[in-house]
Amino acid sequence: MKLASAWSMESDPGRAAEEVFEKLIEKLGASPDLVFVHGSCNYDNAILLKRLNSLIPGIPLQGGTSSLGVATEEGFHTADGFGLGILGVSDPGGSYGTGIAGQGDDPAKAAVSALVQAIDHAGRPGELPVAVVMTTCPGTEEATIRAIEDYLGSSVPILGGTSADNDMSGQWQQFGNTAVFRDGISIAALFPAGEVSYAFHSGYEPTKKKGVATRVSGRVLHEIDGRPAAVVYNEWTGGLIGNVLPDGGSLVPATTFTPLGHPVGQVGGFPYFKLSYPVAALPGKGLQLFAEIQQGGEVVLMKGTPESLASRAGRVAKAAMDAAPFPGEKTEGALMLFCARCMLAVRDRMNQAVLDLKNTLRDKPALCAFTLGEQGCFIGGENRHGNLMIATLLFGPATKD
Amino acid sequence: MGTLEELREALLNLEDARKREALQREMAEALLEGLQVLSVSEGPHELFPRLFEAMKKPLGFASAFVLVESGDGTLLPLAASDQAFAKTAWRPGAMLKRVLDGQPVAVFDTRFVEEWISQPEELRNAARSAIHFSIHTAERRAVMICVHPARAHFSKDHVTLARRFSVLASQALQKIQSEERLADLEKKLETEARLAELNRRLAESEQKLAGARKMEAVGLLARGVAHDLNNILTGILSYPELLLMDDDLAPQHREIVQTIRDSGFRAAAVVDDLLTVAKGAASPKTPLNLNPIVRKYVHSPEHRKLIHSYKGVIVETDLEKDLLNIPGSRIHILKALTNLTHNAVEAVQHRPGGRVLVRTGNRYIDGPLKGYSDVRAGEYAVLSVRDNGDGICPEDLERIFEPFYTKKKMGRSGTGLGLTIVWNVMQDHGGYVDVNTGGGGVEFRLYFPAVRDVVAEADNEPALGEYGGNGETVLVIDDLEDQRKIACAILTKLGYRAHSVPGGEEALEYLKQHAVDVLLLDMVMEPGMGGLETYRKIIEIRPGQKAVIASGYSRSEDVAATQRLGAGLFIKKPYTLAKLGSVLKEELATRGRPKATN
Repeated sequence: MKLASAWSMESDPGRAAEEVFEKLIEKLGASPDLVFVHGSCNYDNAILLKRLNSLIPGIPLQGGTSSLGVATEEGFHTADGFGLGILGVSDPGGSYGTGIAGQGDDPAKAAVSALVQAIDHAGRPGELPVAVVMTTCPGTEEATIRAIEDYLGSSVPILGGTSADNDMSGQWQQFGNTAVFRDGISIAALFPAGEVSYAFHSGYEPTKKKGVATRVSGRVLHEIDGRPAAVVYNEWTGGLIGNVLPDGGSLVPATTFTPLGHPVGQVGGFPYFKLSYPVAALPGKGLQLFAEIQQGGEVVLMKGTPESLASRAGRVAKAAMDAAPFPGEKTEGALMLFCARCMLAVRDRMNQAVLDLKNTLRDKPALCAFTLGEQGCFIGGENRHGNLMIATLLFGPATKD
Repeated sequence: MGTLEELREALLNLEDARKREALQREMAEALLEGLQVLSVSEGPHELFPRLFEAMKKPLGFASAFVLVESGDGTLLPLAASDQAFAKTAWRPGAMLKRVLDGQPVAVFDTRFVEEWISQPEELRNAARSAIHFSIHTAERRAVMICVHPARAHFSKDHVTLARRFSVLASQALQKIQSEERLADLEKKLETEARLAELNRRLAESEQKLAGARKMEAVGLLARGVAHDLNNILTGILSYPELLLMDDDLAPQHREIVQTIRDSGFRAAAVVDDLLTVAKGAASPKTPLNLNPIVRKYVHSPEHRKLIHSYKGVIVETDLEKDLLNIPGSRIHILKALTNLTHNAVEAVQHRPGGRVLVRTGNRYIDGPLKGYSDVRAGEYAVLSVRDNGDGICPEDLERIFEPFYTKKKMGRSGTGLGLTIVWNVMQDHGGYVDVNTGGGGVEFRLYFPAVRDVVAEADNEPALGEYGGNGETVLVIDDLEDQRKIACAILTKLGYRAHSVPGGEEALEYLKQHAVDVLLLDMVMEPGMGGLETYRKIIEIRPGQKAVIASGYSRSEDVAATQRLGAGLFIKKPYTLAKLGSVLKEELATRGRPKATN
């Protein structure tokens, strides 16, 4: 197994595709068996994907739009809102397949459709994949995860990122071999000859401010402890959203360092959390979140710092290496889904973040996409969608039993 | 990075390590249990079922089975926890080929998998999800499949566990294979042993056949010459006897005549040996005891002469007091004993302290004897002759019973038929000869089947006055003039009125005119009618005619046939005066014989 990354900041989608292809083939020295593709929404991605498809015909492609650009082990790549990155996996002993479907009004059905396409494309009908990588549009991540788990069981790790645009204007897209969607789900089913490892962390710590989500509908948190959620949140944050509280309004990026956390499990008595990003205060004093919180569940105010966010990429990669079934230093490469909001919050430190990642991975190839939500598998085996998080998937050699 | 964050990450790592440790422990415990199963299970039929039991909990399957690759690539069931999976053959598709190559495969829904689609509905329902992993030995590839009726039941952890268990299952397969190979080897060894035994028996049979052919040849030769020799010897034996009965015979002539007679006896003994080994020389058996035979032998002039010739050799006897009786031929057993003792004495003649021990004893045999494939279990009376000489070397031991095989200087002693006679006597008696030899000498043990019959009183040699005739008429029928003359001379001497004719036709003519009390009928006459035909025609004109059969041959089928027609006793040439007299006396004393029915 060998991985290689390639990037381009060419604005022309065709030329960008050709540039990344040439670099990839040069680095990989072989035709890839799977290619992850992430690029900014400024490209005409239909043309870009068509060109890539023509350059590596029949090779499974999977990915979506990434905010501003991408990062690789070589740096953070964005220029005038353009940036394209690919990660190629050469693994003749493994099998890979991708599938894509428009969600319409049934995201679960679309998820299963894309999953079945991916498994069949891999030539492994009925077989349990080692991991599933997904890219979806914002808003349906939980439904997508549930659908995949309903189909495969809950033991397969699901990792992914919600496709992002550059300004939250809805320009996100999902990529597959056969289509580019704005409201779709793109899935890769992985049957590598070697092993994979993964990690799903946030760079946030819980505070002592906590309550119970007493009224929830979808991604709207109406009340905490029976009181208007926005009011409670404003109190917990010391008046952070006081200016928009009366009439409601966008909370981005003000709440980036103070998301709400929902305990998923415990480690040694300490809970670990998935994060929900409050993106707007509603006129009714509810909070519009970017990830679901269960009604009746605990809600904790989380706190992050630019320093912790900047060092997250390397630390999550290290966690995955530590947990790998293969020796961490044997890691062949990594795909990383990095919260776009975090990236924006520490944009001026991204070079340092990329350097941390590169050092941790010992210069092995990596592709980092910046997403509007992250899907990953917690240490307890729970597949979840969260915000302001980092999910990573490492590829490594087979272990000797 | 804050301290709290470091702690949280450390906890995550710890938790991960704990999870992995728990999984490892679970695996280790299950593997240990599996190893115990491997070590205690007996036989291939028990091994996998017990291994399935050990693996069931950690792997979480409902059923499991093992398929073994056959020569044509088909996978055939070897073992199954549920018999439903023990019935069908599998043709490997892409999935099972990968499994056979060593990749474990978890299937979340068997209804999508080529190999499962071709299986019966019943199996698919019992196995909506499955784990497949390779188990193999150096020579054999196999697949173990764990199934569960629930869809998407198995996880990555199950696959990891299955990978570990594949080592155990491979060991089980190896064990089965080794046991199968061992069984094959044992079967092969058994077959080879059986083959070796058959070859041994074949060689033994061939050896016996060769021996039998040789004996047959000797027999034919013996039978061919015996008649003529015995006829010749009749003169050499009988005339001296007649002369010795003459009281006027000068002492110096008497000694010469006695020497002639004794030489004749020895010559007759050689012929008799030949006839003994000849085919068909079965002797009549009467209940007897071996001890009197031994005693008679050691007190016989022949034995005394032997001891006299080999001074310094001590011959001892050790006779079982309650020795079992046997059905036997006294004369032949005596002959065997004589030969064995003679050989034994000669074997130790030059050894200081040379000893020969003649023993009798009772034995119950229920095991094999050297040189015999089958030995009838039962009671035996054993006559053994042991010496303390140099023994017999192995190559000689193989051949000592062959006719004329001797290490002695020819002409110095023996006829080369001594041990052949021993062998034949034992064959004739349904017994066995066991030879034990080594540095301390050699021992021949003759095993005679014992009976519980009572032994009749031994016949005593009749006194001369007891077998003389009283003027009864005897017709001598013999084609040889010498024989007729000798017979008539003896008969006259015995007090009979003898008349002779040279053949059957002449006898018939004579008997048409004259009645006689008894015939002395030769069996082999040429040309013209033999004894049997002659007697058949005689009884047509003289029903119930008494007759004594005389022949230079041993008792033959013709003799028996003639006796069935009504003829009486048989006397073998050369006969002594006493023997002929006794036989005639006995025959004349019988009442008229009824004609045999056959």
